[in-house]
Amino acid sequence: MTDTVLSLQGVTLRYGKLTALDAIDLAIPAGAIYGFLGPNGAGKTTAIRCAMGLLTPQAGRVLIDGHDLSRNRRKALASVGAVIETPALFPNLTGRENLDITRRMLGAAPGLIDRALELVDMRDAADRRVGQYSLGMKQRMGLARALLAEPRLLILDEPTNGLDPAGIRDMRALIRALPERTGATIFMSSHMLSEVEQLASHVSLLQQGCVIFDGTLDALSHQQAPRLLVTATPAENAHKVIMETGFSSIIRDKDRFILTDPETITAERAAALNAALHVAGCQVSSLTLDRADLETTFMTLTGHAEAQP
Amino acid sequence: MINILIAEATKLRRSLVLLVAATPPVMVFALGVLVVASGNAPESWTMHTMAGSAVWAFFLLPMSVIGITALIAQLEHGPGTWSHTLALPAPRWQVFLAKALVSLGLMVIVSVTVAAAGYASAMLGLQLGEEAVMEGAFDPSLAFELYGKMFIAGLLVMAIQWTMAMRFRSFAAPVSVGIGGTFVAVAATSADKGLYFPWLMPVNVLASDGSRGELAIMMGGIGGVIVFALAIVWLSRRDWG
Repeated sequence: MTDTVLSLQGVTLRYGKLTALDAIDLAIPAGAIYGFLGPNGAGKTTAIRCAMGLLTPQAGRVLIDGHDLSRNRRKALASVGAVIETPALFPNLTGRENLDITRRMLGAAPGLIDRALELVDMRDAADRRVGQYSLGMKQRMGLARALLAEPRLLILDEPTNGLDPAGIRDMRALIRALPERTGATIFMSSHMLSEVEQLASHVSLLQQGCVIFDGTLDALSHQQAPRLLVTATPAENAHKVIMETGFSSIIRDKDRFILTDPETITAERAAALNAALHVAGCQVSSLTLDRADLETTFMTLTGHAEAQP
Repeated sequence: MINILIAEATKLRRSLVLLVAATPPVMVFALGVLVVASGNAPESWTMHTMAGSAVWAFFLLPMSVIGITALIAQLEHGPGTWSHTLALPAPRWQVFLAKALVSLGLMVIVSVTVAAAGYASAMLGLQLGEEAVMEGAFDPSLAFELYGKMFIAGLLVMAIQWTMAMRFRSFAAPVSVGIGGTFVAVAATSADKGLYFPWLMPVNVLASDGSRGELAIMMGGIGGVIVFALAIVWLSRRDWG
């Protein structure tokens, strides 16, 4: 037992000339809900597959609960439960039969099935065929299956993907309650920033196979640069004025502008921009200087902010 | 290992695999009833058993192998459960060995039921055909010997089809290879070098030249075990991305 439940050290994975993971380092502390954020294609699922031993990295190593995955796969994976991508279950079998298959392969006690079903509130539906389940029920049953091993580490890959709003809410509540109910550390990938913001205590940002931030949400929010929120019409004219005033990183949504370049955001520059917009005949309905939310920080860090020449 | 084997067998419940496994005995039964019931010349039990086993060796065995191995593999490929199954802390080679044993076990059951269907079809045919006559007596040991030898000679085909079915996400690859192999075997039945063609090995059990049959059993059996062993090692070591 160690304080770091999962550790990826310099993990590199290449497909020919494409580098899917570029020497990534992650250390997931015990007891945390750890958000693994990144846009689609950033390499989140690939990293999870490496962590589960489904892909073999060309360099680096994976330690789970102190066990090196490449040397002691069975001991390492004994501490992990995972739902990777979709909750893949056998549709011809009932939920209980699905769990029993995994239980047998784990060599676990039969009583753990009811405990796992209880944790995800699926006892009533356990004897129905999985083919008749909704996606939300499949997600819950997938989670129950991952919990069978009484894992120290629970890996959830996009756990709310495809769920309706009510399903997302329920799944988030379930995930939030799991560390206390099971004692498991949760490593959860998502491209939904709001989700991670609501659930996670730690976050890691992945972009094009590289970790660009790794730490607590507090550390991330302190790292966030001030930003200027401007709402002005006509939007095209305002956009032009903003660029001419020297702001170089602009996110635009119709007539709303978020200026995120930390070098240029000061109270003086904000006042100067306000004046310039008025001189240019723009109607400024709001101009606020604040710190960016996680979404904007994420967009900035991952290079999705609209950079202007 | 027993737990993993039970887990693999459980996956077959309510699946199409069982329907596919039930098809060959039904076909052999239907064919046998039609032949015996409509026959106006006496047929011998020996010829009836040989004819049923020939249909099995030429068509139904390779087709059953295609269907059973492809569907067993699709139980994992279809819902995408490989990621879950292979990320469990169970020895991967045992998982694949269990899958191979379940496939082979089903083929044994199908072989036995096909042999039984041959007997049952003649009994029903005799009841339905007014002038139907069977000479001699049913020899269970002949049926056991023929179908048993065909199973062993067919191990290489089973291993090839099983490996392809496990490896490829799409069933198109194993199915096209299986159908191709079966048609080549039909077209090249009497070819000298056909002796070495995997899909002809079960057929060669019926060859009038006894040495041809013995060689087919040896090559099919040993080759099958080797290919199964290599495939299990390879599949359990490869990445599953």
